Amino acid sequence: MRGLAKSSCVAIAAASLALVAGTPAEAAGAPSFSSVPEARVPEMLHPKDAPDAIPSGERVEGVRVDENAMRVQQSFATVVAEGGRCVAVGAIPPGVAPSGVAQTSIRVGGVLPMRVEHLVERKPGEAELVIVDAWLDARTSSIRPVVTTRVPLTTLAKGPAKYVVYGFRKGSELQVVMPSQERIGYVDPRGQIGFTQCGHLRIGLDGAAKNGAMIVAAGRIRTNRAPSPSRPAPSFHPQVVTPQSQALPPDMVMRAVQVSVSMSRTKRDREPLLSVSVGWAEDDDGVTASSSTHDMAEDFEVPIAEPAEEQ
Amino acid sequence: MRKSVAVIGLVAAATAGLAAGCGSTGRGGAEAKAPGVGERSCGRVHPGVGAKPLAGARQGGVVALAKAGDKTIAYVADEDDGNIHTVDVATGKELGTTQLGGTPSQVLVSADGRVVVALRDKAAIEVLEPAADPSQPLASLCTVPTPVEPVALATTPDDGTLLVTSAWGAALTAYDVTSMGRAYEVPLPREPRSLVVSDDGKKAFVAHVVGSRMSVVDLAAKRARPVDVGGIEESGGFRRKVNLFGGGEEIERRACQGFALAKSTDLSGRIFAPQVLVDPGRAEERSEGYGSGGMNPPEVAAVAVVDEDTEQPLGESVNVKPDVRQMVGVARPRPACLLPRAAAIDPASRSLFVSCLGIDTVIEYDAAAADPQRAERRRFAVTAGPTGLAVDAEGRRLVVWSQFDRTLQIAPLGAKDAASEADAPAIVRVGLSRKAQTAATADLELGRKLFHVSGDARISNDGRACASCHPDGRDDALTWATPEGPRQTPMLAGRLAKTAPYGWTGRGDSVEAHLSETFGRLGGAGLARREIDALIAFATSLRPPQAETRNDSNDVLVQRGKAIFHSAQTGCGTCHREDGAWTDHTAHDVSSRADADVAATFDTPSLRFVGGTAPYFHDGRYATLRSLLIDADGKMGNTKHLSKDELDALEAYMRSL
Repeated sequence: MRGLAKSSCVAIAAASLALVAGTPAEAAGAPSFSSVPEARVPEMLHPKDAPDAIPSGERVEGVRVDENAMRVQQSFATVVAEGGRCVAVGAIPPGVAPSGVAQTSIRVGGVLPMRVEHLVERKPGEAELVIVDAWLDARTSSIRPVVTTRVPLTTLAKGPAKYVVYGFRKGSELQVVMPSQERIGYVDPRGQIGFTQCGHLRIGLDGAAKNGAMIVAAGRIRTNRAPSPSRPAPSFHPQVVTPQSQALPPDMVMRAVQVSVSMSRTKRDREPLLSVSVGWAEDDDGVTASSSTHDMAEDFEVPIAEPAEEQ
Repeated sequence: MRKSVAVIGLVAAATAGLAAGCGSTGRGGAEAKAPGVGERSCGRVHPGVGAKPLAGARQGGVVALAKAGDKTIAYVADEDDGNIHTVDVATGKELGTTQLGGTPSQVLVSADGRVVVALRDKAAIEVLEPAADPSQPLASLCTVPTPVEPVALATTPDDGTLLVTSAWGAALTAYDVTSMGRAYEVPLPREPRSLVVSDDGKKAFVAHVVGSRMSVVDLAAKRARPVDVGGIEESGGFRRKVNLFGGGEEIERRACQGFALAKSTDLSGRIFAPQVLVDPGRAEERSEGYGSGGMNPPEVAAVAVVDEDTEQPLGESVNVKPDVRQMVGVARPRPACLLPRAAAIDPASRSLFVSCLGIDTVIEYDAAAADPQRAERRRFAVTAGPTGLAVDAEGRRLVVWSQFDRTLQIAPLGAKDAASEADAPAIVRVGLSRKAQTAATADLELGRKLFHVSGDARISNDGRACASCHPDGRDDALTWATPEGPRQTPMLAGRLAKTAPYGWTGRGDSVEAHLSETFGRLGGAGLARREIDALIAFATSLRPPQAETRNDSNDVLVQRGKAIFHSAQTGCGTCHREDGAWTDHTAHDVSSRADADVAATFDTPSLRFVGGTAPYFHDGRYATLRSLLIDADGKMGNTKHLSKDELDALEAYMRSL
């Protein structure tokens, strides 16, 4: 937390938590919406409060400002967040995922509000979101942290390979936080697609949405290699070049996982019904479509009892 | 092809039924005289003896669970052999078999333990009684007539009324459970299948294979109301067409394959309808295949979630979203469930299980999701032809029946939160007994599997199966955009024999020639010689809705219509020749060329089973038989001179074909 230590203006705000009593009985799987702890995430800094300038030398840990060598007039700079941090500069339009970008280009000009988010997962199921709001002055490549907010995250669902989906409640909205090991592709509640290229995706679901609200996302995660050999996949599937994974131990592979989080409400529901699902998005063993010429007996883990013919 | 008695048993699965009822107009179907009707009492002979239903189980299924002492047993409806297998779910041991009087479609255990079976090919339900020993065969008490082709069963929450849906008969019929006397009948639209009853017992929800609808039946008013369960596709970056302002085209998708329904009181009155949302393309545009192409496939698996109280689907559940798997380069996406056939809920884990023909898989979804289709938890690989499943909530087991491979599969569901485990547990598979002399020919068995296989590049390049457009060997009631113009899907069952040439233009001299063209349009790589033969053998042996069309009450009307049909003044029989399977095997120009059509002449279609296959004409322009008869006047035959009574008679005759 080098950046924090250097700043005299840093205030650490603990997120407020509130457990709602009297939550309805919940089935297995996702918690009920009202049982998800509520947290306060401050609004981004407002440009009208921006200082005129920030002298060079001020920094936030894990974030750097690069002059953009590709620009002839040097009027653009690139803000790069490292170590899985996500960064946003300027205002975030309503409805847009507030995180998901590891770098962004900005026009060099005045001082701009900036937010850096970092998902800190101490172990699967135990995580917090560290949000640093700061001022960015690209002219001096300086960043002045203003407030750091730590948001404890609750586990919404556990998936395969210890993958955990986290969240917290913000009024009538559920904020969903998904760790990203590679890129995450997602469809937001408005039906728009997007990609996350930093360490997590944070996106909100409106519990008051009349027709329900849903996020569907997919990404690759590290998992143990399956022992069985693969069968060829049906050729009708689009052949897409798989992104090159980071170097992995020989006994591990990257396998696609699909996450869906939704809230919906029927007339009888006292509160929106929360659903969180995590599952593999592709077959590891390649057994997909059945074929009439394929001997199903090969798949049996338990021997089939032969049919007894009646006399 | 070798002939076998098994042909009858095997193809009964695809289509069965009696008289051509009133399919598309939903006036209820004709009945066949069921054996034993009125001859015996349907009441219990030995009250209190034998197995009882599981608590709260009031929906029929291909697999029905019951409690016999401390044993959980499964009654399995075997449509190939026409019997019921009784199996101990804990051990997988087959305890006994009961021969039925027809082909069973669903089984239901009534509150007093009687076993009710819908006999699809007999227009009847059979009521049976269990013995104290579950290994003993069930004793038949009586058979009760129904409209043609009874397919699904349910009882009301007070256990007082049995509800039966009839597919070809297009009706919901209610019976007093105690006496099995008929209480009332409600006409339904085409091809109804599964049904569930609301918690308050006031409404029944009925799935339909075609028509993009679910029927909500007010059981007090005895009236059905259609609910649109079709979908909208707003597909962001995967939009097929982008307009000048960068916005995408909104595509209306039609719901098909509504075979199954599941319901859970625990999930706040949510009714789950596994289905497929179809984009058949624009009829006014030519396409490269069947449908208009684009990034998203013509058929998308879906699970509509209908609010029991508002009777409307949750918008998210029928909103087709982009496939995120493509976005992250998933090279081997799990194949979609394009032929859902059975569904059940596990309230403890809030899981919805759906059995999928074609990919031979049971998929476990999060039933609490706004769109369960996008909330998949696990998959269970099962043997070919999973037509039935049931959840043993108490014993934490899933029981699946695969008809094609005649295998019962029992999977442990684990603890309540086991659904968070991504991989399915090991499954016990048990081959059930088969009646001697009824093994189907290898060709027909292979043909049945090929007809239903989905996600197979030999058939299509987008996962579609033959059964996608021809559910139960019939038609999907859709008009597809094709390279030659709009083409309404024809019914296959009972319509292939002696009706050459094939295809709307009559270009296919043989079924094989037409099949080759169809595979080409679907982008399929094609089948091997033996497989083609097997597929044709199966398709041509599909049992149609039975030709026993007599309904004494309107026989006079039918005879009058026949005279009108064959009269020189109307001229219907000139082209639809009775001695030629109601076709003259010739193409004609009947002024029906649509904008996208490349040709103006079309092969005279056979009128077999025409009453249950709306819409009509090659482009589906006529929604009902009556509109065809009136609006096509002068283009093919003359009907303008006919009175309403004469039109009624003519329509009644055509429905009898």
